[in-house]
Amino acid sequence: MTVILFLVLGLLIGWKLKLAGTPRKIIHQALTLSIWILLFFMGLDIGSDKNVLQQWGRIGGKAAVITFFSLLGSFAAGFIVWKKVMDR
Amino acid sequence: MNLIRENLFPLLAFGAGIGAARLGLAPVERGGMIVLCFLVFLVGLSVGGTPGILALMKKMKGRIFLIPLGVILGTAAGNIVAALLFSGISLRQALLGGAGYGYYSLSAILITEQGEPVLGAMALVSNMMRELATLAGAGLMARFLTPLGPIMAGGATSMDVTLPAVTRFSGADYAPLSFVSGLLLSIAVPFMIALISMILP
Repeated sequence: MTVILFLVLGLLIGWKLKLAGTPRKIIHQALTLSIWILLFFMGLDIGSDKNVLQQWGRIGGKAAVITFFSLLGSFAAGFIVWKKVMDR
Repeated sequence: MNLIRENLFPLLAFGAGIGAARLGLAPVERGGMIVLCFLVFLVGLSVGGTPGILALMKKMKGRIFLIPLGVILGTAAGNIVAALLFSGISLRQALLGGAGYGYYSLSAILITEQGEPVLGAMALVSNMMRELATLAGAGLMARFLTPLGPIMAGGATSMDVTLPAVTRFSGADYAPLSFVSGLLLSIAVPFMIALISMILP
């Protein structure tokens, strides 16, 4: 997958260059900016998709259920890690 | 100020996109994909270039992997339960919705770019909820769910957006653990979304 390729490429170059200070700040600003641009594109995609607009109410409900259970499962796993490893 | 920058501006950008589409602006063909590749490249640069990151991970030995692994497995287990309990939510929807671990921009865009805007929108909302719940509830989580609570809830965001909350409520001793966990989870997002999409086409 193309996306994973770019991720690994970034990891390797970043690791080689050992970025600190100003270059790091610039990367983080570019990161923030590209997230905004991406979300704008995503808004474009979603705003021109009739299905999304029609199902908006159901999307929110499903998202809340998934978030709730994601958190529940993560907490359960956190308890196990805590009991087994951290709490000595 | 940071909170506004991190949470309000992304929402505004997203809203502006929806507004522009309503005004008749057409989606940019492959535009999202190109910016996305640039974005993950930057994530890689930032993570790979973190000073002393390998030394930090060595210091924590294998234990450090248990926390992000717990988030991945715990989230998936919770998602499976959600899909079993709610007939309106398919296993694929639940797992893909959860696999952003709070990293809403990356996960939602990855899913939308797969040609699933409805699911992408759901992932966006779900992961935003996860981040906001962590920011709002970190105090209670640290108190009642062990100091790992906010780190588990924060998922991928525990390296940046929710790191201050972890530091404040779990204690500064947990900040390095939180950072490395969030970092590994951020890298895991594209892999997990690709994996889930492959297993459940």
